[in-house]
Amino acid sequence: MRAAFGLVAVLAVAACAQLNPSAPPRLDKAGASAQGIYAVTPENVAGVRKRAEDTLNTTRAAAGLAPVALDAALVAAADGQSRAMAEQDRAWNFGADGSSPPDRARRAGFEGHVLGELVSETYENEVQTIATWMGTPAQRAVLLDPAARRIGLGVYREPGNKLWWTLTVAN
Amino acid sequence: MTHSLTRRGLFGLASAGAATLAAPTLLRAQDVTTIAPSAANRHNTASFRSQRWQDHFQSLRKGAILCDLESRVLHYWSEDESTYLVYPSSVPMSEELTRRGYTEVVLKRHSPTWIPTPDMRARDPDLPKSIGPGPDNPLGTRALNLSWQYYRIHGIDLVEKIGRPASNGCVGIYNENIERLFDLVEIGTQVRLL
Repeated sequence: MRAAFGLVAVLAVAACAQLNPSAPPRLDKAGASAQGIYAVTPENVAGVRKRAEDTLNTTRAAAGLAPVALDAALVAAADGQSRAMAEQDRAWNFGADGSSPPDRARRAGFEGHVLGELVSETYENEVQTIATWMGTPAQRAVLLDPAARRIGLGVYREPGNKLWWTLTVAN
Repeated sequence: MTHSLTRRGLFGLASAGAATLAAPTLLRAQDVTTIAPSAANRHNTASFRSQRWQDHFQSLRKGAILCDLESRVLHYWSEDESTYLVYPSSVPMSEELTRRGYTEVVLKRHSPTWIPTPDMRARDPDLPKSIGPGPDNPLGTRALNLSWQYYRIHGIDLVEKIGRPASNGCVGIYNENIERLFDLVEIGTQVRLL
Protein backbone atom coordinates (compact mmCIF):
# COMPACT_ATOMS: atom_id res chain seq x y z
CA MET A 1 0.00 0.00 0.00
CA ARG A 2 1.39 3.31 -0.98
CA ALA A 3 -0.05 5.44 1.77
CA ALA A 4 0.36 4.62 5.39
CA PHE A 5 -2.62 4.44 7.66
CA GLY A 6 -3.67 7.87 8.71
CA LEU A 7 -1.50 9.60 6.19
CA VAL A 8 -3.02 12.91 5.34
CA ALA A 9 -2.05 14.58 2.13
CA VAL A 10 -4.39 17.45 1.60
CA LEU A 11 -4.13 18.75 -1.88
CA ALA A 12 -7.47 17.90 -3.25
CA VAL A 13 -8.14 19.07 -6.74
CA ALA A 14 -11.55 20.08 -5.51
CA ALA A 15 -15.03 20.21 -6.86
CA CYS A 16 -16.13 16.87 -7.71
CA ALA A 17 -12.50 15.92 -7.38
CA GLN A 18 -12.05 14.68 -3.86
CA LEU A 19 -12.49 11.16 -2.79
CA ASN A 20 -14.63 10.71 0.23
CA PRO A 21 -12.57 11.14 3.37
CA SER A 22 -14.91 9.07 5.47
CA ALA A 23 -15.41 6.24 3.01
CA PRO A 24 -15.77 2.87 4.66
CA PRO A 25 -12.81 0.55 4.77
CA ARG A 26 -12.34 -2.62 2.84
CA LEU A 27 -12.92 -5.84 4.62
CA ASP A 28 -10.17 -7.34 6.63
CA LYS A 29 -10.00 -10.93 7.63
CA ALA A 30 -9.24 -10.13 11.22
CA GLY A 31 -12.50 -8.31 11.60
CA ALA A 32 -14.45 -11.11 10.08
CA SER A 33 -12.72 -14.03 11.67
CA ALA A 34 -14.57 -13.42 14.90
CA GLN A 35 -17.57 -14.89 13.11
CA GLY A 36 -15.81 -17.94 11.83
CA ILE A 37 -15.41 -18.97 8.23
CA TYR A 38 -18.58 -19.74 6.37
CA ALA A 39 -17.92 -21.70 3.23
CA VAL A 40 -20.38 -21.85 0.37
CA THR A 41 -19.64 -24.82 -1.86
CA PRO A 42 -21.18 -26.27 -5.02
CA GLU A 43 -22.59 -28.99 -2.76
CA ASN A 44 -24.37 -26.74 -0.30
CA VAL A 45 -25.26 -23.73 -2.44
CA ALA A 46 -28.78 -24.94 -3.24
CA GLY A 47 -29.48 -25.20 0.47
CA VAL A 48 -27.95 -21.77 0.99
CA ARG A 49 -30.28 -20.25 -1.59
CA LYS A 50 -33.28 -22.02 -0.09
CA ARG A 51 -32.40 -20.79 3.39
CA ALA A 52 -32.13 -17.23 2.06
CA GLU A 53 -35.54 -17.57 0.42
CA ASP A 54 -37.05 -18.89 3.67
CA THR A 55 -35.40 -16.16 5.74
CA LEU A 56 -36.65 -13.46 3.42
CA ASN A 57 -40.15 -14.91 3.39
CA THR A 58 -40.28 -15.11 7.17
CA THR A 59 -39.24 -11.46 7.25
CA ARG A 60 -41.78 -10.49 4.62
CA ALA A 61 -44.57 -12.43 6.31
CA ALA A 62 -43.88 -10.55 9.54
CA ALA A 63 -44.46 -7.35 7.56
CA GLY A 64 -47.65 -8.72 6.04
CA LEU A 65 -46.14 -9.16 2.60
CA ALA A 66 -46.53 -11.86 -0.02
CA PRO A 67 -43.76 -14.44 -0.33
CA VAL A 68 -41.09 -14.55 -3.01
CA ALA A 69 -39.72 -17.55 -4.85
CA LEU A 70 -36.31 -18.28 -6.34
CA ASP A 71 -36.24 -17.86 -10.11
CA ALA A 72 -33.64 -19.75 -12.13
CA ALA A 73 -32.91 -16.91 -14.55
CA LEU A 74 -32.54 -14.40 -11.72
CA VAL A 75 -30.27 -16.80 -9.85
CA ALA A 76 -28.06 -17.07 -12.91
CA ALA A 77 -27.97 -13.28 -13.30
CA ALA A 78 -27.19 -12.82 -9.59
CA ASP A 79 -24.42 -15.42 -9.67
CA GLY A 80 -22.93 -13.56 -12.61
CA GLN A 81 -22.94 -10.30 -10.71
CA SER A 82 -21.34 -11.92 -7.66
CA ARG A 83 -18.50 -13.13 -9.84
CA ALA A 84 -18.30 -9.76 -11.59
CA MET A 85 -17.98 -7.97 -8.25
CA ALA A 86 -15.15 -10.27 -7.20
CA GLU A 87 -13.40 -9.58 -10.50
CA GLN A 88 -13.86 -5.85 -10.06
CA ASP A 89 -13.02 -6.15 -6.37
CA ARG A 90 -15.95 -3.95 -5.60
CA ALA A 91 -19.34 -4.40 -3.98
CA TRP A 92 -21.72 -2.56 -6.28
CA ASN A 93 -24.56 -3.12 -8.68
CA PHE A 94 -22.79 -2.65 -12.00
CA GLY A 95 -20.92 -5.12 -14.15
CA ALA A 96 -17.46 -4.45 -15.53
CA ASP A 97 -19.23 -3.79 -18.83
CA GLY A 98 -21.47 -1.16 -17.23
CA SER A 99 -24.49 -3.46 -17.06
CA SER A 100 -27.24 -2.64 -14.57
CA PRO A 101 -29.36 -5.21 -12.69
CA PRO A 102 -32.25 -4.98 -15.22
CA ASP A 103 -29.76 -5.42 -18.08
CA ARG A 104 -28.39 -8.62 -16.57
CA ALA A 105 -31.80 -10.07 -15.74
CA ARG A 106 -32.94 -9.50 -19.32
CA ARG A 107 -29.78 -11.11 -20.68
CA ALA A 108 -30.35 -14.14 -18.47
CA GLY A 109 -33.79 -14.56 -20.03
CA PHE A 110 -35.87 -13.10 -17.20
CA GLU A 111 -39.02 -11.48 -18.51
CA GLY A 112 -40.33 -9.77 -15.40
CA HIS A 113 -39.44 -6.40 -13.96
CA VAL A 114 -36.45 -6.02 -11.67
CA LEU A 115 -37.37 -3.93 -8.63
CA GLY A 116 -33.99 -3.74 -6.97
CA GLU A 117 -30.76 -5.47 -6.12
CA LEU A 118 -28.68 -5.75 -2.97
CA VAL A 119 -25.06 -6.78 -2.75
CA SER A 120 -22.59 -7.48 0.03
CA GLU A 121 -18.89 -8.25 0.24
CA THR A 122 -18.45 -10.13 3.47
CA TYR A 123 -17.67 -13.29 5.40
CA GLU A 124 -21.20 -13.31 6.75
CA ASN A 125 -23.59 -16.10 5.79
CA GLU A 126 -26.84 -15.56 3.88
CA VAL A 127 -28.97 -15.15 6.99
CA GLN A 128 -26.60 -12.61 8.54
CA THR A 129 -26.38 -10.82 5.22
CA ILE A 130 -30.15 -10.43 4.97
CA ALA A 131 -30.09 -9.08 8.52
CA THR A 132 -27.37 -6.65 7.50
CA TRP A 133 -29.45 -5.40 4.57
CA MET A 134 -32.46 -5.06 6.85
CA GLY A 135 -30.42 -2.65 8.95
CA THR A 136 -30.26 0.00 6.24
CA PRO A 137 -33.56 1.69 5.32
CA ALA A 138 -32.91 1.90 1.58
CA GLN A 139 -31.86 -1.74 1.47
CA ARG A 140 -34.72 -2.87 3.69
CA ALA A 141 -37.10 -1.21 1.24
CA VAL A 142 -35.84 -3.54 -1.49
CA LEU A 143 -36.31 -6.64 0.69
CA LEU A 144 -39.76 -5.48 1.70
CA ASP A 145 -40.94 -4.27 -1.69
CA PRO A 146 -44.65 -5.17 -1.69
CA ALA A 147 -44.53 -5.96 -5.43
CA ALA A 148 -41.70 -8.50 -5.12
CA ARG A 149 -42.56 -12.08 -6.14
CA ARG A 150 -39.36 -13.55 -7.51
CA ILE A 151 -35.75 -13.38 -6.40
CA GLY A 152 -32.32 -14.50 -7.46
CA LEU A 153 -29.68 -15.13 -4.84
CA GLY A 154 -26.15 -15.24 -6.19
CA VAL A 155 -22.93 -15.93 -4.36
CA TYR A 156 -19.30 -16.16 -5.29
CA ARG A 157 -16.70 -17.50 -2.90
CA GLU A 158 -13.12 -16.33 -3.18
CA PRO A 159 -10.30 -18.76 -2.38
CA GLY A 160 -9.93 -17.01 0.98
CA ASN A 161 -13.63 -17.68 1.71
CA LYS A 162 -14.73 -14.11 1.29
CA LEU A 163 -18.26 -14.10 -0.10
CA TRP A 164 -19.85 -11.81 -2.66
CA TRP A 165 -23.65 -11.91 -2.28
CA THR A 166 -26.16 -10.61 -4.78
CA LEU A 167 -29.89 -10.58 -4.18
CA THR A 168 -31.98 -9.51 -7.14
CA VAL A 169 -35.62 -8.74 -6.35
CA ALA A 170 -38.27 -8.70 -9.06
CA ASN A 171 -41.96 -9.12 -9.67
CA MET B 1 -16.87 0.16 -19.87
CA THR B 2 -13.33 -0.30 -18.81
CA HIS B 3 -12.36 0.82 -15.56
CA SER B 4 -8.76 0.85 -14.55
CA LEU B 5 -9.00 0.66 -10.84
CA THR B 6 -5.77 0.04 -9.06
CA ARG B 7 -6.64 -2.70 -6.69
CA ARG B 8 -4.30 -1.67 -3.95
CA GLY B 9 -5.28 1.93 -4.48
CA LEU B 10 -8.83 1.40 -3.47
CA PHE B 11 -8.56 0.12 0.03
CA GLY B 12 -10.95 2.21 1.96
CA LEU B 13 -13.15 3.14 -0.95
CA ALA B 14 -15.84 0.54 -0.67
CA SER B 15 -19.44 1.27 -1.32
CA ALA B 16 -22.44 2.41 0.61
CA GLY B 17 -23.75 0.92 3.76
CA ALA B 18 -20.63 -0.39 5.38
CA ALA B 19 -19.61 0.65 8.81
CA THR B 20 -18.15 4.10 8.85
CA LEU B 21 -14.81 4.77 10.37
CA ALA B 22 -13.61 7.14 12.95
CA ALA B 23 -10.48 8.62 11.45
CA PRO B 24 -11.21 10.67 8.38
CA THR B 25 -8.37 10.61 5.94
CA LEU B 26 -8.14 13.28 3.32
CA LEU B 27 -5.91 12.48 0.46
CA ARG B 28 -5.00 14.02 -2.81
CA ALA B 29 -7.47 13.07 -5.43
CA GLN B 30 -4.82 11.16 -7.31
CA ASP B 31 -3.73 9.28 -4.23
CA VAL B 32 -5.04 6.27 -2.47
CA THR B 33 -7.32 6.52 0.49
CA THR B 34 -6.24 4.19 3.20
CA ILE B 35 -8.08 3.53 6.37
CA ALA B 36 -6.95 1.19 9.08
CA PRO B 37 -8.79 -2.13 9.20
CA SER B 38 -11.46 -2.28 11.80
CA ALA B 39 -13.17 -5.12 13.56
CA ALA B 40 -16.38 -3.17 13.18
CA ASN B 41 -16.29 -3.55 9.44
CA ARG B 42 -17.75 -6.89 8.50
CA HIS B 43 -19.39 -6.09 5.21
CA ASN B 44 -19.49 -3.67 2.33
CA THR B 45 -22.96 -3.38 0.92
CA ALA B 46 -24.71 -1.48 -1.85
CA SER B 47 -28.19 -1.31 -3.25
CA PHE B 48 -29.95 -0.52 -6.48
CA ARG B 49 -33.60 0.42 -6.89
CA SER B 50 -35.37 0.49 -10.18
CA GLN B 51 -37.21 3.71 -10.95
CA ARG B 52 -40.30 4.63 -12.95
CA TRP B 53 -40.39 8.11 -14.41
CA GLN B 54 -44.09 8.39 -13.51
CA ASP B 55 -43.16 8.43 -9.83
CA HIS B 56 -41.05 11.55 -10.31
CA PHE B 57 -42.21 13.56 -13.32
CA GLN B 58 -45.54 14.74 -14.68
CA SER B 59 -44.43 14.10 -18.24
CA LEU B 60 -41.32 13.33 -20.26
CA ARG B 61 -41.38 16.64 -22.07
CA LYS B 62 -37.80 17.31 -23.22
CA GLY B 63 -36.78 14.12 -21.46
CA ALA B 64 -36.02 13.56 -17.79
CA ILE B 65 -32.98 12.76 -15.66
CA LEU B 66 -33.36 11.23 -12.23
CA CYS B 67 -30.26 11.18 -10.04
CA ASP B 68 -30.85 8.62 -7.30
CA LEU B 69 -28.23 9.69 -4.78
CA GLU B 70 -28.95 6.70 -2.54
CA SER B 71 -28.35 4.11 -5.26
CA ARG B 72 -25.69 6.33 -6.85
CA VAL B 73 -27.36 5.89 -10.19
CA LEU B 74 -28.48 8.29 -12.92
CA HIS B 75 -31.57 7.39 -14.93
CA TYR B 76 -32.54 9.08 -18.19
CA TRP B 77 -35.72 8.74 -20.18
CA SER B 78 -36.08 10.37 -23.59
CA GLU B 79 -39.27 12.27 -24.38
CA ASP B 80 -40.67 9.44 -26.52
CA GLU B 81 -39.42 6.82 -24.03
CA SER B 82 -37.50 5.07 -26.78
CA THR B 83 -34.28 5.57 -24.83
CA TYR B 84 -33.79 4.66 -21.19
CA LEU B 85 -30.31 4.83 -19.71
CA VAL B 86 -29.06 3.67 -16.31
CA TYR B 87 -25.58 4.82 -15.37
CA PRO B 88 -23.60 4.59 -12.14
CA SER B 89 -22.63 8.01 -10.78
CA SER B 90 -20.58 9.79 -8.20
CA VAL B 91 -22.59 11.56 -5.52
CA PRO B 92 -21.90 14.41 -3.08
CA MET B 93 -19.38 13.69 -0.35
CA SER B 94 -21.59 14.77 2.50
CA GLU B 95 -25.16 15.60 3.35
CA GLU B 96 -24.12 19.22 3.74
CA LEU B 97 -23.04 19.30 0.11
CA THR B 98 -26.16 17.51 -1.07
CA ARG B 99 -29.04 19.34 -2.66
CA ARG B 100 -32.21 17.52 -3.60
CA GLY B 101 -35.22 18.57 -5.63
CA TYR B 102 -36.24 19.56 -9.13
CA THR B 103 -34.09 21.52 -11.53
CA GLU B 104 -33.36 21.45 -15.24
CA VAL B 105 -30.57 21.60 -17.75
CA VAL B 106 -29.83 25.23 -18.59
CA LEU B 107 -26.55 24.94 -20.47
CA LYS B 108 -24.68 22.19 -22.32
CA ARG B 109 -20.89 22.53 -22.27
CA HIS B 110 -18.63 20.59 -24.58
CA SER B 111 -15.05 20.23 -23.25
CA PRO B 112 -15.79 22.46 -20.26
CA THR B 113 -13.28 24.41 -18.26
CA TRP B 114 -13.48 23.76 -14.54
CA ILE B 115 -13.37 26.71 -12.16
CA PRO B 116 -13.64 26.12 -8.42
CA THR B 117 -16.62 27.73 -6.75
CA PRO B 118 -16.09 30.35 -4.02
CA ASP B 119 -17.00 27.73 -1.40
CA MET B 120 -14.45 25.28 -2.72
CA ARG B 121 -11.82 27.97 -2.73
CA ALA B 122 -12.70 28.93 0.82
CA ARG B 123 -12.24 25.31 1.87
CA ASP B 124 -8.99 24.96 -0.03
CA PRO B 125 -7.20 28.16 -0.99
CA ASP B 126 -4.55 26.18 -2.87
CA LEU B 127 -6.91 25.18 -5.64
CA PRO B 128 -5.87 26.11 -9.14
CA LYS B 129 -7.74 29.04 -10.69
CA SER B 130 -9.09 26.80 -13.39
CA ILE B 131 -8.45 23.55 -15.25
CA GLY B 132 -8.98 23.47 -18.99
CA PRO B 133 -10.13 20.50 -21.04
CA GLY B 134 -8.04 17.38 -20.54
CA PRO B 135 -7.68 14.27 -18.41
CA ASP B 136 -7.27 16.24 -15.17
CA ASN B 137 -10.46 18.20 -15.59
CA PRO B 138 -12.91 17.23 -12.82
CA LEU B 139 -15.83 17.87 -15.17
CA GLY B 140 -14.56 15.37 -17.70
CA THR B 141 -15.44 15.83 -21.34
CA ARG B 142 -18.94 17.32 -21.02
CA ALA B 143 -20.92 19.25 -18.45
CA LEU B 144 -24.62 19.95 -18.11
CA ASN B 145 -25.24 23.04 -16.03
CA LEU B 146 -28.38 22.89 -13.91
CA SER B 147 -30.58 25.81 -12.96
CA TRP B 148 -29.08 25.70 -9.49
CA GLN B 149 -25.90 27.75 -9.50
CA TYR B 150 -22.73 25.60 -9.53
CA TYR B 151 -24.58 22.29 -9.76
CA ARG B 152 -23.79 20.15 -12.76
CA ILE B 153 -24.07 16.70 -14.22
CA HIS B 154 -20.73 16.02 -15.80
CA GLY B 155 -18.04 13.55 -16.82
CA ILE B 156 -15.17 12.54 -14.63
CA ASP B 157 -11.42 12.78 -14.27
CA LEU B 158 -10.97 9.75 -12.00
CA VAL B 159 -13.06 6.67 -12.65
CA GLU B 160 -12.70 5.71 -8.99
CA LYS B 161 -15.23 8.42 -8.15
CA ILE B 162 -18.04 6.62 -9.95
CA GLY B 163 -20.37 4.92 -7.51
CA ARG B 164 -18.80 6.74 -4.59
CA PRO B 165 -19.34 9.89 -2.55
CA ALA B 166 -16.77 12.03 -4.30
CA SER B 167 -18.27 15.36 -5.34
CA ASN B 168 -19.01 18.78 -3.90
CA GLY B 169 -22.62 18.49 -4.92
CA CYS B 170 -22.43 17.53 -8.56
CA VAL B 171 -23.23 14.19 -10.15
CA GLY B 172 -20.44 12.70 -12.25
CA ILE B 173 -20.71 9.80 -14.67
CA TYR B 174 -18.16 8.09 -16.93
CA ASN B 175 -17.06 10.27 -19.82
CA GLU B 176 -18.39 7.83 -22.40
CA ASN B 177 -21.76 8.03 -20.65
CA ILE B 178 -21.90 11.82 -20.34
CA GLU B 179 -21.00 12.03 -24.02
CA ARG B 180 -24.01 9.91 -24.93
CA LEU B 181 -26.28 11.74 -22.49
CA PHE B 182 -25.04 15.10 -23.72
CA ASP B 183 -26.23 14.33 -27.22
CA LEU B 184 -29.67 13.28 -25.97
CA VAL B 185 -30.56 16.07 -23.56
CA GLU B 186 -31.63 19.56 -24.47
CA ILE B 187 -31.96 22.86 -22.68
CA GLY B 188 -34.95 22.36 -20.43
CA THR B 189 -34.53 18.61 -19.90
CA GLN B 190 -36.07 17.95 -16.50
CA VAL B 191 -33.81 16.88 -13.64
CA ARG B 192 -34.59 15.54 -10.22
CA LEU B 193 -31.99 14.86 -7.55
CA LEU B 194 -33.49 12.28 -5.23
